Amino acid sequence: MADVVVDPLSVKDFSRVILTLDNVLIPADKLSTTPSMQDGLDLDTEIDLRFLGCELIQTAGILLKLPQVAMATGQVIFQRFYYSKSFVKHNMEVVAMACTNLASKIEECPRRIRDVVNVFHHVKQVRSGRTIHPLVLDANYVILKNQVIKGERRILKELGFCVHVKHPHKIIVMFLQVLECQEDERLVQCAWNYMNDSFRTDVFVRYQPETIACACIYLAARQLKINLPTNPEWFGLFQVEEDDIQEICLTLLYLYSRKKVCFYNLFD
Amino acid sequence: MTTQAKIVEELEFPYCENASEKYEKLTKIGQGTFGEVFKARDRKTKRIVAMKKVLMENEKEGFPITALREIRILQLLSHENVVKLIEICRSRAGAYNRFKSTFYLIFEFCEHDLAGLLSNVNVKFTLADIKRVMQQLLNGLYFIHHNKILHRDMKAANVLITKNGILKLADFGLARAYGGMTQKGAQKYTNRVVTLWYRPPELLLGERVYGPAIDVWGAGCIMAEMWTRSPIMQGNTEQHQITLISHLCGSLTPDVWPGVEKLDLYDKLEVPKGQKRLVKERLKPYVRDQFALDLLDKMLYVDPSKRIDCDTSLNHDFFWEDPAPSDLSVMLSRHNQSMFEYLAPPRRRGHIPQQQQARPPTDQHFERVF
Repeated sequence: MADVVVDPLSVKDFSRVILTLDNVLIPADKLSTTPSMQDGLDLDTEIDLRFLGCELIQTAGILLKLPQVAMATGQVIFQRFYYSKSFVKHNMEVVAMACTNLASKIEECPRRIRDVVNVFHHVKQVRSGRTIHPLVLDANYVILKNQVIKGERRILKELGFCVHVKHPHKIIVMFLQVLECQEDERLVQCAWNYMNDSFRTDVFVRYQPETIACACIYLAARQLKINLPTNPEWFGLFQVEEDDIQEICLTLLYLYSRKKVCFYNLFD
Repeated sequence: MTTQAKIVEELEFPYCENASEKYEKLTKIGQGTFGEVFKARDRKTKRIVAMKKVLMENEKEGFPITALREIRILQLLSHENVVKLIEICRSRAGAYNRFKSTFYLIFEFCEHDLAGLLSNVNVKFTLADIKRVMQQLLNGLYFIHHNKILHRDMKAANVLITKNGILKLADFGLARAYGGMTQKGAQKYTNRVVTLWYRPPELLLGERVYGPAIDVWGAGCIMAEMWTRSPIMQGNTEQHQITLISHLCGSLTPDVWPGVEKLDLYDKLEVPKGQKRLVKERLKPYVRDQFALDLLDKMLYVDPSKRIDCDTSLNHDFFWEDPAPSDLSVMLSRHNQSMFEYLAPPRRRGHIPQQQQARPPTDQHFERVF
């Protein structure tokens, strides 16, 4: 759906968070004390949970043969949701499943809830190194499925149906074309990889997709030692500030330095 | 009450307001593709709105994808001739609804729908009025097509008109984005859309890769209806509809429509042979304006690739010859009662065909086609 006109009617002012279709960023003061922190969760655990939730959505998405945009949408919705509700009160796994299901519909590749539940069950067993058993379709399954359905409604209500996600995939390609680098496959691939990983962080509720696209190109160019125009700076062309780029780069690099967490330690 | 139930009842959703607290239901005014429609009043501002309930009966797969599409599409479309979605409200979850809240789409209220107006013999449309209706209809359609959206349920009942004479396309319950590509080529959609009487021949013959032309066919049927005052082709079954189309538009042969023989259902349905195209002849007794007849003829082309598009239609002489399109509010000011198809007595001549709703089957979700 290109060339869309944004309707001012969807501008809503609630508790000073202004949410519109073209402004889905969350203000800094809302980001510093999250709902989970208010419930007594420490920041480190919260970061782990966010990371893990997004990783689950990504892995499940691959197994469900979803296109990458669906995983990206699911991950962004997941991040947004936990800036208005807390991990303490809303089960991370159920919300991740609901996000996967909702994103599959938004991106026009619907999957059954049953398949989503099944795949999450499988991923959980693989991650904990247990013997793989098929999911038993008992009363617990029915309860879990209903939790996912309710989770989906809760997400829609909480986000006021603002579930549009502007994907930076296209933007990266477009920017590289402007920079006449689209032929360099390594650069394109590397920037693209950074971008897919960036979905595991919360940069999408903090920065515009154009800024994130620049940061991915910036990191990729540095890693591959490719020179991009500096006089004037290339990102100036896209109205992006270097400070923001570096902030995103740091968030991304932090992701790689973090130790992989075990699923179960988090819940014990 | 269990503590858990209490927690659920007390949940707050600041971005999605409570429907019954904010609005007061007045009367039922229609039955949409996926739920009932009510006239309602904002308790505070006294503004009149239309509330469309999202049916969640078949909710095995959670929130219906069709409702999600309607919301997303209307959030993005903003045009004078497209109905305006004000907000989405919910009912409070509680024991009475097994902790499942209902969603309502809140729309700006329009006083009439075209089917309701056409069924009332006291409402007279002059040629200038008809031009204004069609101009606005094609303008709205041009806008949604330009945004890569197909309406897929064009019919007179889905065309709303305010008392000020502004036309709005409504009911995007079957609408979807088009033009997407998959690894296997152009994306395929379900052909089980559009109310039978307004369904174009390519859908009846099983085409799964279609485009904006399907909505233009519906617009053509509506345009003819402006004079005939009832739907022009009232088929009872898909087969009957194909027969009626052939009788009006001539036989569906590869000569007039190259490639028609390759459509899935071409061999399975009985396609009448040797019929002459009689669009102008058959409509002449009703439509005396030659420009109108010419435009109708072009909108009711059987080959979708040769059917006129909205932009070209808007440039057609019909809209630019005297009399010029007139302001509808003058004519509508003579009627002070709301006219909706739902509230009007049936307006069918002769046999009353069984109401055929072209709706996706209930287990549509897994067809993966739309």
